[in-house]
Amino acid sequence: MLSKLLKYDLQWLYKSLIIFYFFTIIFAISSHLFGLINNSLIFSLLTSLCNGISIILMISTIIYNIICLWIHFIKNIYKEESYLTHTLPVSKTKIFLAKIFSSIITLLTSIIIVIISIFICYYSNSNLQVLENVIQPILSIINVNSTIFIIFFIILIFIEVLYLIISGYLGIIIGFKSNNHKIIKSIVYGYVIYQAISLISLVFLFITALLNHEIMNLFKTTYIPSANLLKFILISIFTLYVVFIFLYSYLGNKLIKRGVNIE
Amino acid sequence: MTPTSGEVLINGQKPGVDSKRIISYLPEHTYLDKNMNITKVLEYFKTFYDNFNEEKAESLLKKLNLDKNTRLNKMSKGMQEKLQLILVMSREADLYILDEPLGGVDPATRDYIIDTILSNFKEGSSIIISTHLIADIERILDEVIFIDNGTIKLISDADELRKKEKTSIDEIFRRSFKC
Repeated sequence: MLSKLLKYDLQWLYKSLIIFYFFTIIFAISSHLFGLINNSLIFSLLTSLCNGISIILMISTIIYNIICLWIHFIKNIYKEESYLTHTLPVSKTKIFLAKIFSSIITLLTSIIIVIISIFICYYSNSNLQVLENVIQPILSIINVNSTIFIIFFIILIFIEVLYLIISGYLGIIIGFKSNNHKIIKSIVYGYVIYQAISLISLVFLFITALLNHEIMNLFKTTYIPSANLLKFILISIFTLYVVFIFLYSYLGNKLIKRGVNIE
Repeated sequence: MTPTSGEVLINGQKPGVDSKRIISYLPEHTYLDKNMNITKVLEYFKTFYDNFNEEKAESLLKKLNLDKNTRLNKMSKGMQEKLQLILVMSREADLYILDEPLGGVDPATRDYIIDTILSNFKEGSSIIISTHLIADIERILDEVIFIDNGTIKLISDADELRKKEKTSIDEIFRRSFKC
């Protein structure tokens, strides 16, 4: 049943997302093709225009994906369509899991589309050299090669955005327990839940600092941390995000299982 | 809904996946995705409900002369409600719960709705109809329950109640809830 729910969730989400994917890729290709034509003012202007539109579309794709997921969640769980959702012979856990999985899958495809578009738009030996030069100082500190760094960076962005989506879901679940101003309350709760990780990270770092002199220096001085310490911090942030995604998903599921107030 | 008090048991079990399998529910609202067409909606019901009788649904739709490629957002509210009723009554359920099926529709549509309910429920099943339009369904009632502000005011066999009060249930209701 989970796969069937997932199928219908993905169908709904991709119906509009696919339009964004299409135009993002089209403008990236146009930008690349116009850029190949030298010595023309018109084509140079067109390249800049397509470049700008591509960047806007890339950012919009991710933002639209997030908003689309939240709207679909509200429509399916709390609005008129919820009368159908909650009377399907499926457990509430599966309904919620389908939302989490559809978030992971659509976000993954959106990020892949953005990466492909960036690659189409900007791939050239000179741009690669510029990127290499920009990240080289960081690479020399943490002592890893550029490929691993870029992959880790992309995964971190994916986890961060997924954390934002799940925080939103939990905010919606708590906000919709109220009888009035549900949307406003959802936004406020969602924001507080999203920010919780910053506070907890700082507390976690401070507790670790009490046991580790080098970490304490980050609080007291302007000292640049060693490669090992930087790696530790990055991996801790990554782990914390993953832990919180699981925690928020667990809480969200538990709250939904207790009952929802359909509008 | 978040329960506030009391308990509901269906076949001795609390509401859950098993009870949802045997209950066919028609809400007061239109609850289908308006961007779907009829074919997609039929496919959706077939996917999730083992007891959904597609042939029955298709033959009922044929009587309405509805094109299966029509999107729900292109249909009138009345048509959407008829479609929902067809979907609900096409399930071979043990219990049908119909919430205000006659609300906000013209008398001709009311007749269609009552006729569809009576000629399509599974034999041996039960039907719970919540309504304010008692006169329209009075002839099909076996048992009546009057509810006021979440409290049960009366439970009775329909015929016994009529005999006892020497009037129609609609009239009894009007007297009981006179403002």
